[in-house]
Amino acid sequence: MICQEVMELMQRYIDSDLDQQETSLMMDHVGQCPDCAAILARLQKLSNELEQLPRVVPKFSLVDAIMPELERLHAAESITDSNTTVEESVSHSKPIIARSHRPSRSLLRNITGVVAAGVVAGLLLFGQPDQWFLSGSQSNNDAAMPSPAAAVAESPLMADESQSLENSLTRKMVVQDQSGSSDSEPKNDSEMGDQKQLNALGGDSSNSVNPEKSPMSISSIPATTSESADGKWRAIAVEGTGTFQVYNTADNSEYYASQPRVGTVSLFEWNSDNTLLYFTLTDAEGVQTQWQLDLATATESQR
Amino acid sequence: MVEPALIKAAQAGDQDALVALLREIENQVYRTAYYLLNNEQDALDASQDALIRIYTKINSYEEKAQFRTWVQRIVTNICIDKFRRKKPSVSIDEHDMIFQSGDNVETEVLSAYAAEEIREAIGKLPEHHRTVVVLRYLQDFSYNEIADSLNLPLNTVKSYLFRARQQLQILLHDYQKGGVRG
Repeated sequence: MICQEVMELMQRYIDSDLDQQETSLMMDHVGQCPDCAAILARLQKLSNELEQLPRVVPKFSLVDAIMPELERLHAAESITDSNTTVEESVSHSKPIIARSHRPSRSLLRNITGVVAAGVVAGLLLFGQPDQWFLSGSQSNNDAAMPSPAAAVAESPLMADESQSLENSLTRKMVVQDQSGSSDSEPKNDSEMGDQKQLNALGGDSSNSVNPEKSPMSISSIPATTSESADGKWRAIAVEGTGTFQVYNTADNSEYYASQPRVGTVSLFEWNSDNTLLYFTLTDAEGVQTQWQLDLATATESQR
Repeated sequence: MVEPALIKAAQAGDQDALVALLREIENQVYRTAYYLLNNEQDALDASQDALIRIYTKINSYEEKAQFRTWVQRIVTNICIDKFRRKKPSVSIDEHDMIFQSGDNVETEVLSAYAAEEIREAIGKLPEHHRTVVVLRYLQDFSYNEIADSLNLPLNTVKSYLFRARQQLQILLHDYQKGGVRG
């Protein structure tokens, strides 16, 4: 037995991963090899110290701190439940945010518009979670959801969207591999499996779906979307509302929700290094203003 | 451990159960964020983001996964995102890390590293290695649990952990040589 082989045994021994036979193999070698004995002692010492790192706790209750946010989310969810259909809330969102000179009513209407937009975005994103969460891996924990096939059967129109999402995810994975920052293996097998399921169910078999294409157009909800060139971010603005959201495409978490405004947000564009999102706000009189969102600081400013 | 009944109630829409569940996990979420980000304020922000995400995504958790690995997956993803935005480059080239045998073994075995130094050394590891170390030592996860949390193959988890320990020894050894410690 050579020292290099014993090294792995010693590492696993530290993690209590050896069976009896492996343990005695290792011990036999360590008993005769002072170098390995020294290495084992060092490893054990380090491991003991790592185990004794202080179990830090937050200086205040995190749940108490986020409680207002949780209550807001809960309230928004209740409103979602009371809405009958997505179509209805969208078709009503335009008149709801019509201009008003009474500030308090205007605010209320804006909020309603925001909620409607949130409902639409929420339903789009999470109503079809498997479409958005298709991470190309069946072993993915987060993929603990209904099978893609079932969702496609429910909504064949969304097949395009799920493919373009897969494309973007694939692209992202390639980028990661090139940079050498990821050791995870490409999951082509399961992705192909998904593809086959989609095809079997009459989905578009073309892989050349343009990820920039608005996914909303195919599901009859008017909206503007734009994905950053690095595939990391997706901005969505539902037409007729003065708000937009930016989602992290890796896990579809909402990264940013804009302040409510009167008007329509449109014409998303990203700067070359994907740190700024440019957009246009058109008010009820058709006056356009140019804005930008700085992703790092999550601040909007007029250009 | 979070009771399965509490998770079920939370998923069924019981708001109190969901909040109680978050209270049970807030310390473990924070601990990971703290050791991954190496900064109290960033850790507070990241763990609050993680708890909100868990709140909104509770229905995407399925029993076939362990709840705590699912929770750790969420918090590690948020932290990795956060430090990628902050520090685009990795501070140590892992390929330069060659294991050093036997030198100065006696002095090292005799001295104990301060927790602070170990924490700083963890902060210098490449992100995957750091994450594996934190889950192994601050969450007491097994190889399999780490693999589930990070969606990595088992062998990759082992090689990250083994290399991380070797790197930590070198980093801590450097501290000592640099005169930080006697």
